[in-house]
Amino acid sequence: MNCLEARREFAGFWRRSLSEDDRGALLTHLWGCDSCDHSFRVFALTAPVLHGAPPERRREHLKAASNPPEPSAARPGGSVRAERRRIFAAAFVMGAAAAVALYFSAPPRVTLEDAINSGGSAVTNSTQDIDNLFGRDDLERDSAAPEGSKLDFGQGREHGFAS
Amino acid sequence: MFNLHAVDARAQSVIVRTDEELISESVAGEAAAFGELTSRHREKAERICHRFFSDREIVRDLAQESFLRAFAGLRSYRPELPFGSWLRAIVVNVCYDELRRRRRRPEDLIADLGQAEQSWAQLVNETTPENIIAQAEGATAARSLAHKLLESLCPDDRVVMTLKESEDLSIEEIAKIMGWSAAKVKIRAFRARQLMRRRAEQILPRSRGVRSR
Repeated sequence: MNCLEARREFAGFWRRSLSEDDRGALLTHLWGCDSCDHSFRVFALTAPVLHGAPPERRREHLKAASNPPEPSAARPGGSVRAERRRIFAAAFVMGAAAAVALYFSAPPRVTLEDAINSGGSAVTNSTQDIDNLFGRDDLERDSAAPEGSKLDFGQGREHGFAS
Repeated sequence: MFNLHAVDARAQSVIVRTDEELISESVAGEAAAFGELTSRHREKAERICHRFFSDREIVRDLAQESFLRAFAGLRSYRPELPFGSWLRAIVVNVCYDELRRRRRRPEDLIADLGQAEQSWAQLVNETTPENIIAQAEGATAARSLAHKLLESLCPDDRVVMTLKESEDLSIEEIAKIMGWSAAKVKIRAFRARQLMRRRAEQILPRSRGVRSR
């Protein structure tokens, strides 16, 4: 919707005769266009006489009408701030929930105390891990490897790479 | 057994006579026919007067004055034009005469705003478009501020603006009602918009910087 189209819709918007789509498009335009927003406010000053009082609101709007808007929420800027606060609060809650879920879903780690209390099984497991870490199997494979593939640690010294 | 005569009489009373028939009867001197025309069109006439004046008494008086003028000129009415449109032209001219009679000085506008009107102007300046409409329902301050703003226009500008905005009439239709040229109506319409904007900006400073996006 451009500015010209938006301004043509002011009277329909005031009379609440616009379709939901047109109303949404107009509100989006007003939100993004300062000039049209100002023009609508100028229009609204004389509209109660030139276009009559707006018709009775629909049922779903009755509740909102009975509760006057809060000063902080009345301003467009105020509503943005409130929206940001809500988004921030929601993100914080979601982050906290994710952290709690991660903490409880992580696999149990064996502490030193657990290892001592539970006897040999935990210790055995950890020593197996350590053996694999050092690659005992790889060392055995090296010793069983063919002659040409073995590293000769003496060559480096001969070529003067080592002191 | 049905009483056919009674049924026929009732059916005749239910038949709605057209405006043209009532006008013919009025011209023939039947006052009741003009009374029926009046009651049929009074609401519309008062609605038009209400676009120009906020006081109910003045509105009623002007509507009555319009019907008196219509009655006096009934012989000049030509059925090519709908009676409603003919009457509207009379009402607008009666209101125009009254506007010229009680011309308001525009510089009085800001000083004349009451507390409620200032609050309404502040609300219009600050709240969301949807909330403006919601709050305008039944807000007497909204109407009175609108009247004060429109009163600051000269009668010519005001008539053009009202007919164009409220009655949704074309330049040619307004020119015909007022007996002016189309060029004059165009100029008046342009002037009215400019002046209205200027007056409104005295009330609504461009303080849109408060909007954070």
